[in-house]
Amino acid sequence: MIPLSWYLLLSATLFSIGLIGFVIRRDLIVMLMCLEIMFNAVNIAFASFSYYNSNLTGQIFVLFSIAVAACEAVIGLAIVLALVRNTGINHSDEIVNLRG
Amino acid sequence: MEKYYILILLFPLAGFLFNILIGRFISPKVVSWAGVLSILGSLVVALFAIAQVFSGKTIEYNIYTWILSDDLKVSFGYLIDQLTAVMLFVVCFVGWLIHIYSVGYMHGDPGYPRYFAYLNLFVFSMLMLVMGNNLVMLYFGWEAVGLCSYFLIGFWYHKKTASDAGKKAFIVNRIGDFGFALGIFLLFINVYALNYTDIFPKIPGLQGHTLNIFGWNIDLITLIALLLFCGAVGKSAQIPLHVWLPDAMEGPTPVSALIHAATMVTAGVFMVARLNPIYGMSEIALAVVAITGAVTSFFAATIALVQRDMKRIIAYSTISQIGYMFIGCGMAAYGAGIFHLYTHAFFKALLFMGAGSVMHAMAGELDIYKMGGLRKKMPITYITFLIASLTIAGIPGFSGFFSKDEILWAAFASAKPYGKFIWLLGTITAALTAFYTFRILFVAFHGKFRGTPEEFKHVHESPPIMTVPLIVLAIGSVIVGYFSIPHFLEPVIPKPVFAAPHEQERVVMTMSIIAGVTGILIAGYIYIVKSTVSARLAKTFSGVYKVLWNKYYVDELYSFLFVKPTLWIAEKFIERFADIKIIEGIVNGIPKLIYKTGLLIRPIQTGQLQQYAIFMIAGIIIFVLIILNI
Amino acid sequence: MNPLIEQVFYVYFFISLTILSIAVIASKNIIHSAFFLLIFLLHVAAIFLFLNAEFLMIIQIIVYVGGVLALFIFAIMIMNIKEEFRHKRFVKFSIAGLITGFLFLAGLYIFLGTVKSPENVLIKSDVNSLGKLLYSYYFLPFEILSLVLLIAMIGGIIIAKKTPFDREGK
Repeated sequence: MIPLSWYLLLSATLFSIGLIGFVIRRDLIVMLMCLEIMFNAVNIAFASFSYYNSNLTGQIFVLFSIAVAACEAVIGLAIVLALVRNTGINHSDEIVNLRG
Repeated sequence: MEKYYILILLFPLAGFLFNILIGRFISPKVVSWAGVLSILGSLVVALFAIAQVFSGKTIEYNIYTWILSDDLKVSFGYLIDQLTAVMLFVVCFVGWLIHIYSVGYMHGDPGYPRYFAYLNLFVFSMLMLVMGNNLVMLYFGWEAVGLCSYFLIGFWYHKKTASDAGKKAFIVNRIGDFGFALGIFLLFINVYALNYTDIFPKIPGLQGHTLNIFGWNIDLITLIALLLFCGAVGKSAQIPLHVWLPDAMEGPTPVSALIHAATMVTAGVFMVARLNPIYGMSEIALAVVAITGAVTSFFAATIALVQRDMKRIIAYSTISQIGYMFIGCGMAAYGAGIFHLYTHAFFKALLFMGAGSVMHAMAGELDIYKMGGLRKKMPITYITFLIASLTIAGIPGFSGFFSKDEILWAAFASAKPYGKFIWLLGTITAALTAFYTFRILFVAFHGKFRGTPEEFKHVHESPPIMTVPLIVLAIGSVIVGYFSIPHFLEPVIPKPVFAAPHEQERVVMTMSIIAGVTGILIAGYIYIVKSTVSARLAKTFSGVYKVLWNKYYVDELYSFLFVKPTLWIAEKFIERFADIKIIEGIVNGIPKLIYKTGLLIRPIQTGQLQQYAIFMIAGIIIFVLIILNI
Repeated sequence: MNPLIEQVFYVYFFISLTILSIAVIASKNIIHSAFFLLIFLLHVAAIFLFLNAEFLMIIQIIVYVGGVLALFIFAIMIMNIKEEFRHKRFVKFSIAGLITGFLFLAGLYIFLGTVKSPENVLIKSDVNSLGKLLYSYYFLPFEILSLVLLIAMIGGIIIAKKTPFDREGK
């Protein structure tokens, strides 16, 4: 029997790796992929909670999470597309218009 | 019926508001009608009030309670007794005549509506001063007339001399008013009342009280009386605060007639008479009043001997005559002082308006040595001026004789040790008064014209709107003396105590007549018979002449003692140091501080998205750690 | 199932998912990253299967792999990113990022070590009961989710539309 904490550790590890990747990479699209990694880590956590508490609510939540993640990927990519089309920039550290 | 007397105050106020707000947009004719009619309305209602007072009633009415706070109750109310009735008549009647005169005098002036507005405001303030039944209304009116005087003296504000004169008048007035305010405060602290009817019964209770100042015990009533007198000195242009009145001649001549002859400058005398219970209890204060009055009147008369500007001579004459009024009050003959106020209003206003008429004809020229022989071309002005001069010289039959004689008799017959000295000074001044007044008459109206023939052709008599008031005032100057004011005022003003037998009054009367006639004869001799004498006299006594011509150098003294040091401090210390360094340092320094702080914090926002993400994560970690540790 | 096999599978998933995600974030080539992401998603679907959530597995494969990842590949293709010679992968402040991330991970590990594991586990789950739950208790979020999807669709189209300026000229 695998304890719940192991799945949660797995989820935490994946989430942190996704977080580190989001903060480190310059490429905008890779940043979006790291967001997807984070989402999936959270889905694993929800699903494991659902399994260990024998409650189907966790799976419903995963459903919603997947749907919302899909929407967010759409919008994110659209923004990146518009950005690249207008300015030709596709690296995050070159977009500094909102600098103080 | 009593509450309708507030209309006396409201009519001029309405005239002021009307003219100041919409005077610009309506024709001058409407402006002048509004100004004159408002004063006429006041006069009519005042006559009703005076009629009631004649029948022996005193009117007191409180309109509105302004401040009600524990012990302090200040209300707007009026008290019309015999004294107020006299003042009401003077202000309204002479004021009305001067308004009519101004319609002609100020014709065509671009500031016409403003002039009438301010003149109405002045009458309102003066009426408030005389009609008030408490010290606060007195002070309010006091300050307001000072303010209107400033407005009207500096009426032609484009001229630097005029605006400077206005400032000088207001500032010198303010210095006196400071003492006045201190007097009112001191009085209030001790009697806790401000209405006249509440104060006067409590004054005898204050006798003997002293105030301890820096170790000296000063009698309280004397101190109050002297402080109040400070205000009178400033307002009525006595020594040492007389310097503003000659400069005030920069204003239009009707203003000089109304404010600086008949009404505002007599407010000091009115105040002393109104508060006579206070003055009556302090010998020292009465002595100060009398001696100040005597010295001022002599002093101003000597200056007037050598001046060349017609209005300035009459201004010094005003200072001198008010000195007489203060002599009367100082000798506890308040009735005589008010009597002289009453007659003086008529003849002094007449003198000023005559001078205005001459100015009108001479295209603004005022130097009497540029005029001459005007009586042929300006008969009405000449005759009224002659009547006024005879009155001021104290010739029997005219009103000035009666009032001046009362004062000199009170001085002579008083029990005080300095009484006879003041009488002597007063009689000499009477001679001087006659001299300089007839000097104007003879130099300007007799003899040959000293200017160019074209100017002489331009000389014309003034239009009827200006001469009719002159005639009315001349008639008044003659007849008002026959109505015994001191007798009328007896219910409110105590009679003076005479320490000399009544027969000596004839002697005193004769002496003053001789003084007056002597003055006239000498003036006639010097200026008509032998006109070279004056030049020779000036050369022989050139030192004295120079001092008199420069008005005893008082203005220069004040400039040296007060004006220049103040300006020096203001510029060097206050402006350079306090203003620029400290205040501007703070005012500029705070934004600079904020800016610098902002500059320090600014680099946090780099615009890099991931850096913000790192900050967020760090924040979450810290937050969770804090929560978990708790 | 045999606990040992479970643990073997768990270890395998742990290692592979970790390596795959590191590969996603550390690849030079974007397409490589995309494919590593694909394998990652399939592994996650396998974990769902392990947790007795078959419906989720199917949905994961259909939506994520078939939808989102395809979208990523299309986007990379459309954007025509010119591969610069030796372009930098990481931002300047990556050290700060790494440290913060490790701190985060450490914090999570410390916290999650204390989680207790309950005994009764989900035996089986079927779509029927999932659907019953979805359409009764979670009906409102379901409807709102449909709205969200609609808006995301419209928004995506509007943002990524070619403006008339882009159409001509360029």
